[in-house]
Amino acid sequence: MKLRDYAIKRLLLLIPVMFGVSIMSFILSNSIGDPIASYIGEDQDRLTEARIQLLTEQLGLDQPLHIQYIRYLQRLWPLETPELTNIGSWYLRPPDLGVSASFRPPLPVLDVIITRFPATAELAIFSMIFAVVIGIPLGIVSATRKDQLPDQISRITALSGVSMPIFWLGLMLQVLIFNSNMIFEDLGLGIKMPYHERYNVNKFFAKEDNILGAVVGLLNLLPFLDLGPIPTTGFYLIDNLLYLPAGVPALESILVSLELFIDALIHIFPPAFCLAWVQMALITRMTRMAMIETMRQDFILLAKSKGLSERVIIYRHALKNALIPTLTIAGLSLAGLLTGTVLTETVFDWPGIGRWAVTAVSNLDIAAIQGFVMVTALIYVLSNLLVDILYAFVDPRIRYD
Amino acid sequence: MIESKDTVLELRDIRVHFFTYDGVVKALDGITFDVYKGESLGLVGETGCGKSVTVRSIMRLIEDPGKIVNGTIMYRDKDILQMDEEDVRKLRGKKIAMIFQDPMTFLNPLMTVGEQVAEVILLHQGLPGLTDAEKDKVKKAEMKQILKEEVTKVFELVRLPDAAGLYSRYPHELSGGMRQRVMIAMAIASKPDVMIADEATTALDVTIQAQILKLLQNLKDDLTTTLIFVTHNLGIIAEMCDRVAIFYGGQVVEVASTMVAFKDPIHPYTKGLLKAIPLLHAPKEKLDSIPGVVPNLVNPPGGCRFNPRCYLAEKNLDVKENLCTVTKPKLLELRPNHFVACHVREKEYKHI
Amino acid sequence: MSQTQNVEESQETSPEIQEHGNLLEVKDLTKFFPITGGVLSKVIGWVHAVDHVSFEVPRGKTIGVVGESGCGKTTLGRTILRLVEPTSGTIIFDNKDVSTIPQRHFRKYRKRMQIVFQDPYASLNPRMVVRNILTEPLRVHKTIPKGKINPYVLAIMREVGLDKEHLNRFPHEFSGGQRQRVCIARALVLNPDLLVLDEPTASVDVSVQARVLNLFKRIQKRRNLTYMFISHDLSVVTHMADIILVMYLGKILEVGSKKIFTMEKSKVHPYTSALGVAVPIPDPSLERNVILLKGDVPSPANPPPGCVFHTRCPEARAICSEKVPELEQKESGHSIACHFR
Repeated sequence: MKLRDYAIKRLLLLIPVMFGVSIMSFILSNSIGDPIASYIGEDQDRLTEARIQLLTEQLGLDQPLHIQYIRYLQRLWPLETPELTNIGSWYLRPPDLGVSASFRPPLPVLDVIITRFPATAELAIFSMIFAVVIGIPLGIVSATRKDQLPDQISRITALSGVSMPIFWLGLMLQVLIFNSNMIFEDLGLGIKMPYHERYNVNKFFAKEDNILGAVVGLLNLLPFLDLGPIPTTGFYLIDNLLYLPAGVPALESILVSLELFIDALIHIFPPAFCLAWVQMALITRMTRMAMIETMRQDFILLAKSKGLSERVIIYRHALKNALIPTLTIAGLSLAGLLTGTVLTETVFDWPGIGRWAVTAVSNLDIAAIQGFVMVTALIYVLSNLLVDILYAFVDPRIRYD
Repeated sequence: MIESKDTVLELRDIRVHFFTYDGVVKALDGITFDVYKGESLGLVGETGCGKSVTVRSIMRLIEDPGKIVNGTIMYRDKDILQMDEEDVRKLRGKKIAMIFQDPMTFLNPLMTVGEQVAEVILLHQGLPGLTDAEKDKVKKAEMKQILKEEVTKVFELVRLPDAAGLYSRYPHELSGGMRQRVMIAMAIASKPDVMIADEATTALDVTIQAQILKLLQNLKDDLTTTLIFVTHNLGIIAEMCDRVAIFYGGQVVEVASTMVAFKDPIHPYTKGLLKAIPLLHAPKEKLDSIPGVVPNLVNPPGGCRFNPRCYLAEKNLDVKENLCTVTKPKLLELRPNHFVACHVREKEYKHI
Repeated sequence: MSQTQNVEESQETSPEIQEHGNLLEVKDLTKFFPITGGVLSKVIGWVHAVDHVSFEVPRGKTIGVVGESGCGKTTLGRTILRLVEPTSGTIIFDNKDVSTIPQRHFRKYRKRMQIVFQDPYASLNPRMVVRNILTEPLRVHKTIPKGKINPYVLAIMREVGLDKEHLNRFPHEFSGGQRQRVCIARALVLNPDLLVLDEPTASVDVSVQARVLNLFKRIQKRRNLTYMFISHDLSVVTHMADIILVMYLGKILEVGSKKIFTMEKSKVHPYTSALGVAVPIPDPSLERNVILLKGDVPSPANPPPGCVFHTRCPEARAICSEKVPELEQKESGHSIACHFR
């Protein structure tokens, strides 16, 4: 089977999977409590019997569960069909995932995901790079110096990585950073700005203050083109690098954006480190194991019999083979990182979807929980597909049957 | 066939032990034989007899937990076992090349077969046909082109069809016979002094095996190299080799010309082995078998390792008690160019 | 030998024992494996593993099946035992068509047809001692009363050359040859009529192989067993077999006596003679003219048209790539599928 056919097949399989996920999440989240409860909050006084009645009707909660589910699916369906007979009048619209009631005022779930997901993705991708860049070389060193000092160090690092809970590690890091920052501040070297102030998207970025925004603005001057405003990417590292303060000379603005970028880097480091440690440990151990296994293969013996040096054998012959199992772990890690940020985001107050999910659960915000589950499932399936496609590039033997 | 007796390799008292959790496996127990220039020598024996370990020792390819604990292997007046790693690597693949058994597992699945052959050429010959000064100027793309042409030449030498198009194919895309030809191409790329074929046709079908054997025979003659052929198949030895060394339990029991070893063997094990195989051209109703099992090399029988299964040792109880079970028999030239390691035979031939 | 008598006594007498005649008749047996592809996993082709194969095996005889890898010899053995369901064709076992009866009714025939595999280590459960390996089929099929199981099993063990003390050992405690004996014993406990031996000596050493082969012959004589001996080793097959089937890409090219590999070239199929001379013979004084077949065996997923062998045949002519040669009887017990024989 061709790779393209395989990808199509897998994408088609996505439909029943997502369907199943939607049923599961719908039933489970509706069984944990009364959706109206999430509207109580601070407005207790205003939530009169009559208003509850109104909300129940508005949200369709008076209907039986299966009708509610069908309505939920109808709202999800991205094709709007005002008149069935007139195909020309069909148009696409964003799926309606409901309203997240844990915000005041309530926000559409899709909007929340779109604004919050980049923060999570950035944290996850940064951790991933961190885990891979450190994990793989560490694994190779442990394999080639098996049972020697580097191997022992990597073993202890990995073991502590898997055995230390993220929340504990996160808190310890915060205490450490806070204390050292106090010392630095006394010395006049401290990082002065507390980060919650920095990481407020809406406050920080004006639309035109960004290179991307400027380019879009310029293009929009052309009479035939209207790209509309592209404010920010939502990735702090990238946005900071692209930041273009208005009315500042070019050279200075580069320095400013660079300074901001470094600042963002400093701030992403502790949560990313926290998040990456476990994955790094897994990748290190996996690479080590695969490397040792590969070095025992027959073709390594042949490579030796050709007279190749140890170095060439390791890097040209063994490494690529050893990375195949590592790739599996890395792929699962990526999915795990994207969704497993719940703890890290809570500990570090990171404005991603993980933090939002915690809020949603504690507020019985059912639409939000469902939205979060759907997004999580989608990420898992897609990252698995990504790994399977990557295999084809690494391993020419892969046939998709 | 071979007139001169120049030796290329002299193996003396090679002992290899594997230090495993179950105990020390004494895989080789004092292997001694010579390899003459230009001959094809067969090493034959059953599983665990040490024939493969012997040829791997020649290449110094014994891996952990194995260790060559004793012996000398002289190649051109130099002891391979005393060389430093750097010198051994210059020997491997260039002067002594090896063809392994299973062409599927011995080729790197993620590299094209062309790259895998080009690698040997580049390592041992650099870019052929160019002076050093010219080599420095060659660009990467040109280098690839030159190597590709060289590889194509070697592929043609081993009669691979569509030699030019094969360069960028992966091992799994080729048939078993073609893969084995690729391995042979790697081995002959640097025109080695000694080619070692370690069960090189065992994984192949008979008709493909016949093709490969013919190819090896031709290459050996064309390149005037020495061929060491390791196999458990006595038929292949009879067809391919001038001389044969018979292995049993980590010892060499008999070395002779193939004709003599098959027609007039002296050692009881060789005799038993020849009687135990069914013959296509001369069917027998019942096969003669050797009693007992192949020895356990963690705790091998003392003296001659064949003694528990040997009909000679059993008949001469006093001999058995004194010699066969206690002292390891020496490999002695009982007849001209016919070496045998057996106490009983030694006595018989001394009387003559 | 009281044990031996025990064996004889406890033998279940098969209905209407026939001294002569065929135990097994196979007609047009075919097994195609589907190849799937595309987005919807549609069947895009078939692997022609066994392609309209017909032959018969007289009771008490050995039929040897030879051929190169991918010729379908292993699938043929498994299809006859219905470990693999046939695509079409009939299998007549002891005058009864067993190819279409449902699997649950097939069970009573299954115990009369047993198989010994190539790798004894892989086919024995590593967590079971020999006693359990041997008594399990008896408990499943309930052919022997409970009280008699122990002496019966002991007798079988003696028959294959194992001792009483081996009963409580695990497979890994045996040598390769002994493990194969355990497999043979397991096949014998149900007292079968037909034994399919699929490369039974491929993983044992030369000096041990002789004893295993002798054992097979001895058991056959004693029990009047019928063997189907599958192997790629021509010397071993000719040593064992009365009738030889030469297979190539799922088809039978020749059926003949054990002499076909050494017969004159013009009297046998070109493939048979090429196989015969390709086998290296352990006799250095023999000068032989090896016919080298060109190229490789084609893929059974895409067999050549006409005669399947024509792509490698040294004698192929135009007709060979167009017309499929039928398996024609040349003399009694010798059939060839070739346009020029």
